Amino acid sequence: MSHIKFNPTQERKHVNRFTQEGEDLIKFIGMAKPYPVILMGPAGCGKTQAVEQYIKRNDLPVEHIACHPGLEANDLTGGYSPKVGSEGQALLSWNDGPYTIAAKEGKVMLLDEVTRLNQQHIGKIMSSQDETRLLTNPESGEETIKCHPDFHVIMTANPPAMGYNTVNLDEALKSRAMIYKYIDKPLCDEEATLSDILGGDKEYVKAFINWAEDLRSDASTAISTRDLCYLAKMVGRGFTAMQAIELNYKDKVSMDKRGVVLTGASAHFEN
Amino acid sequence: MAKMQKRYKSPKDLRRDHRNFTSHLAGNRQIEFANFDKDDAGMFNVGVEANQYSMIVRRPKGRLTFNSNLLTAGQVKFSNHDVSNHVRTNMKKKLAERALATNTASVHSTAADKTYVGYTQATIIYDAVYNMLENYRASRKSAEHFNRKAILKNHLKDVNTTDYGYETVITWEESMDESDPDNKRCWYEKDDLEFEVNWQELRRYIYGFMNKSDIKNPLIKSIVQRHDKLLKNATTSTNDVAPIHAALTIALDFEMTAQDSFGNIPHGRVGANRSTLLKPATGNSGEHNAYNKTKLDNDLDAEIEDLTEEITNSGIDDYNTEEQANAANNNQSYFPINPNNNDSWDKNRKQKEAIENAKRLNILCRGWIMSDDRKHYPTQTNIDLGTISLDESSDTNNVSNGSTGYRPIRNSWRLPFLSDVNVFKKHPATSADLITLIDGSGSMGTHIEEMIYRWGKDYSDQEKEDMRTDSSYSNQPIDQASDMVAAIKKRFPDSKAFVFGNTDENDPAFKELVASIPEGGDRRQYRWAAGLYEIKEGKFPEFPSSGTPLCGSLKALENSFSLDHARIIIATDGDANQCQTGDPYECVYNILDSWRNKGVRIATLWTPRWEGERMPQSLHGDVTIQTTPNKPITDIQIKQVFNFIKG
Repeated sequence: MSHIKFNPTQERKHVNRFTQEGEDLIKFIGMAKPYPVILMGPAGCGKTQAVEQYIKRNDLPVEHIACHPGLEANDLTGGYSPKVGSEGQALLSWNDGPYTIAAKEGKVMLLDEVTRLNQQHIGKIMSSQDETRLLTNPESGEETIKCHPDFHVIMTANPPAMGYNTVNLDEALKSRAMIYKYIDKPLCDEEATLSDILGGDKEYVKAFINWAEDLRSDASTAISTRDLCYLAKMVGRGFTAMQAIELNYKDKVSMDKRGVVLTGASAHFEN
Repeated sequence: MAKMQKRYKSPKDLRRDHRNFTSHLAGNRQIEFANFDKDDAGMFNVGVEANQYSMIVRRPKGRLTFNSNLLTAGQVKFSNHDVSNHVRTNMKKKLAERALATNTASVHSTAADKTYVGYTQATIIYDAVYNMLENYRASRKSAEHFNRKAILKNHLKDVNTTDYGYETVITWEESMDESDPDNKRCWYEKDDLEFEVNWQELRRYIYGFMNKSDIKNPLIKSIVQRHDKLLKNATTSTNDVAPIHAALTIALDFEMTAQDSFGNIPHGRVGANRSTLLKPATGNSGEHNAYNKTKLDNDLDAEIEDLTEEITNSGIDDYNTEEQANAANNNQSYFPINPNNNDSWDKNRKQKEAIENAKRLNILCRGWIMSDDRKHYPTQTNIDLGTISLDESSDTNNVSNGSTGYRPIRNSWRLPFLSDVNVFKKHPATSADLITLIDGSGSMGTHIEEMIYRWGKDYSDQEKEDMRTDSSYSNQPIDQASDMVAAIKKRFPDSKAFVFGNTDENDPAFKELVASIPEGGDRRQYRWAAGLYEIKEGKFPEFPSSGTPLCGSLKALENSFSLDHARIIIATDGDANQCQTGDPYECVYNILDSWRNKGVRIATLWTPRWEGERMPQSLHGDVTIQTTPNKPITDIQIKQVFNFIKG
């Protein structure tokens, strides 16, 4: 078999490249400001990359929280933390959390993986996202905070089920979003990005793209852009494509689809 | 320490892998594998054969090369079977219309609006020519896709060297059976005429291994002579529509030339005209040899061209309309096929995959677990639970009973770093749910004794009495299923069991549901919503008359249980229905498939109503356990279920 041979050179750096849809989305996020944006989609399709690109291009101040079920109110809107007073006594003082800071100072609030957040926090931040744009922290003793006009909440999330241990997104939160988009295709221009990583080896890029296309004919084996880039990077580091797929991707799919992944891989790459 | 031995894949493993890969590429299209003995060569063509219903992969038995397997996978992936199917249907429709307009005798009037009128002759030709050209086109495309020139090279070699290739006989039957107009089989009123066609000759000609002058079969000869240029174009073009176009033209020409001229044969001359067409043109005269002419008449040529264009376009339009609706239902954009733009076919193919994937997330079916505040009936098992040998030495995960099910966590050695004091964690598989669902549809036999009261209004006292005494009413599917539940509950008391059916009107969940649907909304939303009714030990719940809303019931489970590593047993006698998403087979498959990622294992307890019943298609369980109709469940069946539970 000599259908695909690649001489690994050095792994190359690559810049973020987006498809037309990705570019449009970045533009649309800005146009929706200051109303919330929710991007749903499978892991590794470029949601967070697109948001970060939006922030980078517009040079915006940002607070970034990766949500998880163990997240406390302290970590989100703020809370009391112990402090040693001037006379050595224990004091409790209020500290604003990143969400409150962003609301006061007019930053972009990026809530990553919002479907992993506890319901109690969702309720708390809800009214700061609708037309009233008020955030109340009654525990702090402060009055209600009127959000800064530049305060912009952007959320990304994985859908529940499909193997993600996430919860359903609250309908009320969904209704507050000006953009609620389910992303079903990669936002990244994969061909250009892989070409960057592999140093412009067209045949090899094509083999990767064709292989990904075969896998994507079924959602349960659909490979993400992130994994595809990892694989290309691994090839750049000297792994063979088959080794890279064995190590990175094969075991990520369910047991009964592993044969499909490997057969598909050996169809496109040399053993 | 014993050395680990590397396990090599057996040919059987490889074959299975490739079948899986091919099915994977086929996506939602139905695909069958038919391997024939080499002795049967001559009856089949190697390749992917598309007919009205499915794609059949026909290949010789035995070990096949990797490239040959890839070729098949590619032929399936790049096939335009769905489009071709629409064109094929429209061709039949058009021919029926035309025949009705010109010669009413040839088609029965009841068939006028039927798409499946029996134009077997044209469809035989269409299928044969289309499959050949399409396989050739797809093999060129897959060689490119997999970046292996050898695929095409081996394919050409295969066609050149093998004698495979099938023969068909195109027959005109005596006349249609007018006494049975509902039979819908509407044949031409022409008498037994047979064309024997050796398609291998055409195949070899298309692939360039045979000269025109070497062709012996008169029909193939006629086809090649009349459509030489068209065939040449179709074989060299990579255009997706080319095979459809060529096959359609050839089929129409055959139909309109041969068929129409034969339509004029007066009755009584049958024997003399049998197979006249198969003779060379010289020495024969008259209209029957019209098809032997090497060129098409100008008028006919123009008419066929117009018809081909019209049918192809209408077929593509039908396909686009259907897929557009499909995409809209799933909030997806649609990229229509344009016969003049070859890129649009590839884009459409990719877009269709996205739509199919989106479908998996867009499940509209709903269900709830109904409240327990309802009447229950005591159940009596038809099997003696005492005599069943229950192997109680181990639990659901084959962990011996002395064990608590707790195991040291894997990285307990990192305890100081993790600051996790729970060194022992319950193994996920032992803490998983074990749930049995029983179909509550009428066909399961809801007239068993306890049910007679529930459905009482439909039966008179005498009828109830008859049912009680009639032995054929015992051991109905629902008896067998509830007996199985009793056995499971005895062995695994923690397990849960539900009857699934429609929602109960008196349940609070149902009232909420009705309130949530706006006035004038789709009534199916609450009529078809699923309800789960819990079966307690020895107590069977009352539930309303139901269909089989399996997808909604599965969603109800998904909302109520974590389902990680759960074992689910679905007892049913037939296919799912009442799916709000659209296709219950697909919907059930999509839900179960997403569960597999969570480690859920699914078994089907299939309780057929009679011997030789068709297996339900909507069940995609890992394991199927089948009961015997009208017989109590056996120890072996119970053991099979336990084996599944233990993994």
